[in-house]
Order: sequence, then structure tokens, then C-alpha cells
Amino acid sequence: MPCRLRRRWLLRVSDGIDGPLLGSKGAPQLTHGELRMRTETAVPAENWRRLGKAPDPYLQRIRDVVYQVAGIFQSDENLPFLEECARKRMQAVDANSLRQYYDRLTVRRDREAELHRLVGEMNLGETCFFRNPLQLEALRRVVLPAICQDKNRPPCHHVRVWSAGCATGEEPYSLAMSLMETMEAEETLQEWTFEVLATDWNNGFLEKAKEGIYSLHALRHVPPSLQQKCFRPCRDQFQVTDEVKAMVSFHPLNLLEEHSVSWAKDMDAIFCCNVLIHFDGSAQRQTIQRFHDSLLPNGYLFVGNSESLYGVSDNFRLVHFPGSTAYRKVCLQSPAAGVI
Amino acid sequence: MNKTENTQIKQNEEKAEERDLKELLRSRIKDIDSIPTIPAILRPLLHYMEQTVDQIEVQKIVELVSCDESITAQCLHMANSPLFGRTHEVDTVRGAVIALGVRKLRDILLSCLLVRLAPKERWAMDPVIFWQHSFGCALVSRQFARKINYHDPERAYLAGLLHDLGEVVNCIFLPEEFRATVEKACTEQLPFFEAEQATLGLTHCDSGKMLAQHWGLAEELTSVIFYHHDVEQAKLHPVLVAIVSLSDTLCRMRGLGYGFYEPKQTDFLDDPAWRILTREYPHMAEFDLARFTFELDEYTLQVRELVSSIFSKGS
Repeated sequence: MPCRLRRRWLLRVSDGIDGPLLGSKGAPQLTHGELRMRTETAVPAENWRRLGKAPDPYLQRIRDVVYQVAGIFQSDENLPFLEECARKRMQAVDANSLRQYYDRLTVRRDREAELHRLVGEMNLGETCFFRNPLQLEALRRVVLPAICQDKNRPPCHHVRVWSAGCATGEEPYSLAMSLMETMEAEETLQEWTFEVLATDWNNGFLEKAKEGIYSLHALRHVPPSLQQKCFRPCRDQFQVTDEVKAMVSFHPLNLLEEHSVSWAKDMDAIFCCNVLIHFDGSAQRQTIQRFHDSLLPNGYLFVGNSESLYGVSDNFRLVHFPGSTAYRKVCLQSPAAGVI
Repeated sequence: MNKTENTQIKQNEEKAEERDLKELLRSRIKDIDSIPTIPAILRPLLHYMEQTVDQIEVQKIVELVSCDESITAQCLHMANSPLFGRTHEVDTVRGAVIALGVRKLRDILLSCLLVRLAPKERWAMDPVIFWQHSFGCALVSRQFARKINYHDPERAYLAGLLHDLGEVVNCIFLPEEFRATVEKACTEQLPFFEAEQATLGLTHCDSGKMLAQHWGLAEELTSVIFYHHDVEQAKLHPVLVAIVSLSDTLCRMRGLGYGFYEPKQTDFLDDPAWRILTREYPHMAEFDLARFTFELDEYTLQVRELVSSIFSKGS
């Protein structure tokens, strides 16, 4: 008897670029066959012609399955990259066509494990400083002023940002540099203090992060003024200055353990980029709920550039900034207790 | 004279100036057809396109387009862009009508003609940026309309293309004043309609409406042009106005804005336009806006390429 698919599989069914883009919340659970019928999408022909060939419809379906389960979207521009990753996995699992591989991702018992192997193949964990500059721009120019306006009552002149899944430290240091730059530029922020909490489950990563030594390649997107100010040469590499290091505290933390997360409280913003895509549906939902608990009212959750929380949580609302998006904590109003 | 009276006099003077500017604009717009850069076929074509598709004669369109060589060239260039879904290379106007259909060709033709509305030297802002925004809004409006099952996506394209027509009017008829507006908007990173309100006392919605009425554009297009920044006031065709208004904001958030960073956050669920659409289409509650946003980025690249190539060929 076929096992039932997780709820998440059912929520993310959508119909490709030319069809209605509607989820199926509240839909009854579907069998594998039904699911496959619903994930079969219309080919967005107009977007593919520029590539000079018609797309394999199964590649697009694979894109949809990856989006439904891992929450990461590959644009049409990126479909050739997705195909490359899929073909590497096809060799490993002995699938002869994208159609056969699509079957592996939707029908076989180990379909979810295979999907995470495919996501792993996409190597989205690779990171560098200022990897998503528009996200940092939104933090500096929109989010920070909003937070400071909300908190502008002494003695609460303190902003806490959490980099969850910080790997080798590029993201939290980028956050610290951005905050430092804003603080120096804005006179009104002189009395404020900023703190970046950086966590990862991998102690090896954390050791490297604390050391703060990086190759020139990792610094390629750092604005020249910050390169000068925030790094010093160290052998043939570059080390983050003590001033930046002082803003960041590194701690081991497993996002999947509730007791481990519960001390991370009163956050104004959380950055968790390309981490949730490696979790299964229930772990994703639990983690998102923990982030919700960790955030202050109206706090922001930033996820990866192509990541979506659609169908994962109703406790956050999507907000748009120029060139980036984030999720804002929804506060339920309770007449007796105020904001909860 | 006390302070209150002084303020009152100042306000009256400002109101009179505002009225004068509107009157001036209205009288200048009457002369629009005599401006040599406005293609002679634009006006007949705008009326012609109001007919239903089965009333439109292919031959008539071919004749209208073929009377201007450079329009023909530009039109064919666009017809071969993936944004209009060509199936194979077309090299004649007739071929384009057959390959794409009358409606798509009509959209292309109007897009080409509108680009020529104001010559490069008259622009207070970079026309490439302006047309990237307008084409972007047209395409996003059409796509959005399809997603929510709006009955006429092609109409949404046209409304998106024309929504900022008033900016062109301001460029042509109020060049000096508009230059100051653009400068204010860019320096202070304000949306144009706010900067216009502050410097001109009227917005591109007002001036766009004047030209739309002068040209006798369809009521729904006029409604979009006038109300896309004040959706709740739109009594006529609020759904179309809402589609274009949301698409306009989405374009500005995804790299097809006015060429400067608008430091703001947008929660579309709080937008009056979203509420209008949710009332009309209850299934909007399930709309995956995150995915739609990612998909739009594909358009951003293509629109930039297309508009840049139109201008690099000279308009």
C-alpha cells in the first residue's frame, strides 16, 4: 500500500508559469498518481525559446517538485543548471531519462532522500561575503530604520540579529559590517548597540569562523571601502578585524533541537539562507515556528534568494524590498494580553 | 496682516498656480498631434485597436505599419523577441501577423509607436529606464491577469503599457518643471507621483488622463491611467486598475523601477489593490506570490535586453 505523502507535498502544487498559481490548501490528500497528474505543468514556451530549444517537460516538473518539497525555486534562466545537477544524479541512480528521474523523485519510496541528494548537488551551501547585497541593503535602509523607530524608547537601544546556519562565518560578518557601516553613517544611531548571534551545528565550521581568515575570492563582493576597513592581510589571505569580530558571537546550535534553540530570544531579524531546503517538511515547520518564537513582534526572517515559505507557515507574511524579500512575523492580537 | 492671512494668501496663490499649470497643460495637449515626432499612424491605430479582433483586417494593419520603414524594422525586431512568443523567425509584417496573431502584433505595434512619442532629447529621465518600466509593467500585468484568470490578459498588457502615459506628457509639455521633479525624486528617493505632487501640484495621473481623454482612449484605460496610484477611488474597472497597480509596484520592487533605490517595504496583502482582487477572486487567498516574484525575474532580464536593443538601434 503506498504511503501517504506529507502535507507539504500537497500544499506546493502549482501549475507552472502559464497556469493558475494557486496552492491547494485544504485539498484532500492525493495518491501518488493524482499528485503526479497535478504537478505536470504547462511548458512556459515563451521563456524557453531564447535558449534555442524546447525544454524537456520533465525538467520543469522536477523544478516544481524541488520547489514543493525543498522550497527553492529555479528560474527558467537556471533550468540548464538544474538539468546539469539532475543529470549527475541520473548517472548515480542509473536513470536513463529525465522522465525516469522524475519518477525516482515522485514515486519511489526513497524519493525524498533522492530529492535532498539533488538539492545537495546544487551546492547552495557555498557562500561568500555579501553574497546577497540587496538583502543587506534592505536590512540597512529599510529594516533597521523600521526596527529603530519601533524600539526608540530608552533603554532599548539594542538590535539583535541572528545568523542561523552561519557555516564558516561569511554571512554574520557581512551582517556586522553592514550594521557597522550604517551605525557610522547615521548620527541618530550613535547610541545604539548591535549584536550578531551566529550559530551552526558544525564545530569545525565555527572554529574556522572564529578565526576569521578568508581567501581573496571570498571577499570578491565586499565593497572596496569595507575591504580596507574590515580586513587585514594575514599571510597570503585576509583576516576580519577585531572590531568586526567583537560584534559577532559564535555558538554551536542544532536548529532541530528545541532546547538548543530556546535561549535565542528577542531577535529583531533572523537570517537563515539555504538551510531549510535541506530539512524535511516537518523539520521545516518546527524550525520556522522556533524562529517565530525567537523573534520580537514584527521581527523579520530572511531566507535564501530563491527560497519560499509558501505553505510552510501562516505565522509570517511575505514582504518585498527592492530586489529582495523577507518574511515578517505575524502578531496575533489578544485583547486581554496585547500582542502575543 | 497676520500670519494666518499670509498662509491663506500663499495657499490661494499655490492653488491658482496649480490651476494655471493644469490649464496650460490642457491647452498644450490639444497641439499634440502637430508635433512632428508623433507618428501619424498612432492615433488611427489607437482607435482601430478598440475594435474586436474579428473586425480587424490584417491588410489594414500591414498597410498602417508598412508606411514607415523604421517602425516596420522595430516592429519586426520586437516580434522576434521571446517575450512575444514567436514560433519562428519573421521577416515581414504580414509574416508577423500570421505567426503571432493580430492581438500580439497590435501590442507590439503600439509599444513601438509609444517609444517614439517623445524624442530622446526631450526626456528629463533616461527613456530606456522609463520604457523598461512600462514594458515590464505591461508584461507583468498580462501574466498576473492570466494567473488569476482575469478574462482579458491582452487588455491588461495594454493598460500596463499605458499606465504611466502621463510621464511622457510631462516630458513633452512641461520639460523644465518635470526635470526638477525627476531630480527631486532621484535625490530624495521618492516615488514619482509624490515628487510631482510636491513640485508640480499635479501628477502624471492627471496629465495622462488629459491625453487619454483627448485621444478618446477607452474608459478602462483612462481609469487605469488616472487611478493606478489611488486604486480605491476607481469606480470604473477597479479590477483592471488593481492588476496594473500591483504589477507597477512589483516591477519597482524587482529591478524594473525608475532607476533608483526606493527604500520601502511592501506587504502586498495590505495593499488596497490586493483587497480588491481578493474580493473579486476569492482564490487569490491561495496565490503563491513568492513563486510569482521569482518567475518575474526572468522577465526583468528579457525586458532590459529588448528595450536596450530598441534604443541602441535608435528610435
